[in-house]
Amino acid sequence: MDVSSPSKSIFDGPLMLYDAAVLEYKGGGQFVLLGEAPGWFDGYFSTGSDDRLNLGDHSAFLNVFLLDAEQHWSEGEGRLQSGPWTEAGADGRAVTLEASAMELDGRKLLLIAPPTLNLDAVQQLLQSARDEHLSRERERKDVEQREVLLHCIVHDLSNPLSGLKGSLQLLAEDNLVQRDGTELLEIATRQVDRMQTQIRAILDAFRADVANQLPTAGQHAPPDVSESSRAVAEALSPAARLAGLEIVVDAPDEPLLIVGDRDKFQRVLFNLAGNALRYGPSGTSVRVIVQEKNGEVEIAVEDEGPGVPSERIGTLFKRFGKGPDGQTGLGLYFCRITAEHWGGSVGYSPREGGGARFWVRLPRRG
Amino acid sequence: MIQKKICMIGSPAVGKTSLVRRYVEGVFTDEYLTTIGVKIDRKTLKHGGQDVNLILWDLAGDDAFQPLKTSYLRGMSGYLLVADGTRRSTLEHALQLQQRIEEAHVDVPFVVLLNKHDLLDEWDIDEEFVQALRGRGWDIIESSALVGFGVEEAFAQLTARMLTTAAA
Ligand SMILES: Nc1nc2c(ncn2[C@@H]2O[C@H](COP(=O)(O)OP(=O)(O)OP(=O)(O)O)[C@@H](O)[C@H]2O)c(=O)[nH]1
Ligand SMILES: [Mg+2]
Repeated sequence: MDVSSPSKSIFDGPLMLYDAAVLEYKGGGQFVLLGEAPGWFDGYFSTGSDDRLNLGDHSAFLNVFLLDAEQHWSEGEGRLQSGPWTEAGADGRAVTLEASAMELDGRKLLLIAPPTLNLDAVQQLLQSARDEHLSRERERKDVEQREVLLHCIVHDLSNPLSGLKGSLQLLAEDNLVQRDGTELLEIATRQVDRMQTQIRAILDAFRADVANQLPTAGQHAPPDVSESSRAVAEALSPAARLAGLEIVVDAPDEPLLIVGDRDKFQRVLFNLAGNALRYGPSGTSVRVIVQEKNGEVEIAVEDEGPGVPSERIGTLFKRFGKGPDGQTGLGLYFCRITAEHWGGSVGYSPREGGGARFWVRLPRRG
Repeated sequence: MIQKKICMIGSPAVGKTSLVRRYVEGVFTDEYLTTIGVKIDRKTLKHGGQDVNLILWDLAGDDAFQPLKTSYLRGMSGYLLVADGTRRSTLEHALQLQQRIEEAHVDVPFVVLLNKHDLLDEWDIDEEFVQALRGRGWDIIESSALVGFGVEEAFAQLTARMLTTAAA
């Protein structure tokens, strides 16, 4: 060691504890090592007999950092630190290092060393912060999903109620019950009304915070479109009669199986046909039309109501989308995510001759 | 030989390191070990009959703890903007990062990766939104570092874009 050069001995002393290489910049990309080379150094930079080194040639990272360093040497103050980087050296071994550039007595110095002491601590700190962030996100998502699921369930609870109420009213209107029974009918109708009101209140409370929810992939009975369409039409027929509407199914007689699960598919149909009944004017009919189209099955529900105003069409199937009447509802959104989850699609177009036409297309099974 | 620097950019834990490991070493690990600073890897790929040497800069995920260092982007020819498809917020964050990069006057091609596509039950990305981005001319690829799909494709597509940009 050359004791006559004080600047060298400083670098040889305590810094060697940290495995640091101290280099001086000579311009033109060339560096000279001051003091001893730490253990990792020769293999990393494949130093030969030449005592001038072009560090940027050996490290893509330093190549970029040295641009900043050059600027720092000419005008900066204090130390410019690179932050840790991991890169394989000339010997193919990946090493994590840190560099800092500084000026000392007019000399442009570069220190390179493996990050010491605190890297593990930094790693642990960051890791726990990020792990925590991830688990918080996961929790939030779980809660969201549960809420949406609950919302869908509550929404579905109201569907049979409409049918029930329709039946009760028909019983009353057609005088099918004896006098004593009418009082009981009124009680039953009031109970249905109360339940509907409560369900609406719950849905309103949810409306504020409905997030996305994929229906879980159901491994249940595959839906037969023809059979399901007729079943849904039958369940809705009391409500239809009450509204002075006819509900007509135009589907092939033979089973038509699609991808998906039966219950969810019927919920989709309930939603679409239920909407149509609300908008179809008395004396007209609501049609459920089932057709096979290039490997897909299309189920269209048509009514002869006013149709959807063009400004609402774009958002009909959105999460917070408004229905045809401008009311926020989850029904059409549910139809969409269910269909998409099964590889299908949903859509709206005005019905030829006036009214609305909602369709679902689903891949055929088998 | 042609050399191209590619950066992996995105929120923490979206799978940047995993994608590089899948691409370079062909392996995948379940364990999450957050990246500190930057990790540099190399991989040579053939494009149109010529060898292209990719220098992959796997940057630490951007958040308040380790904000993206734009100085690392110097010399970059393109980047993969990675989001975790099971966490919608990471796609929103990716859009912000893209904007920040654009504001730093770095105008290079990029490809968006919606990673973790093996976790379809947890998928959290709005398809319409993706379509809207594609409508802007963005390249968006669904990928899985776990299963390995979309990975080669993403690097190949980005390389093709980088080379046509360079030729233009
Ligand atoms: N299921 C699944 N998990 C993945 C996939 N890619 C990454 N992961 C997991 O996601 C976690 C984070 O992956 P990393 O590759 O470390 O993420 P990163 O983006 O490099 O994270 P930072 O370095 O912190 O920015 C790890 O637990 C991985 O195993 C994937 O395609 N599918
Ligand atoms: Mg990483």
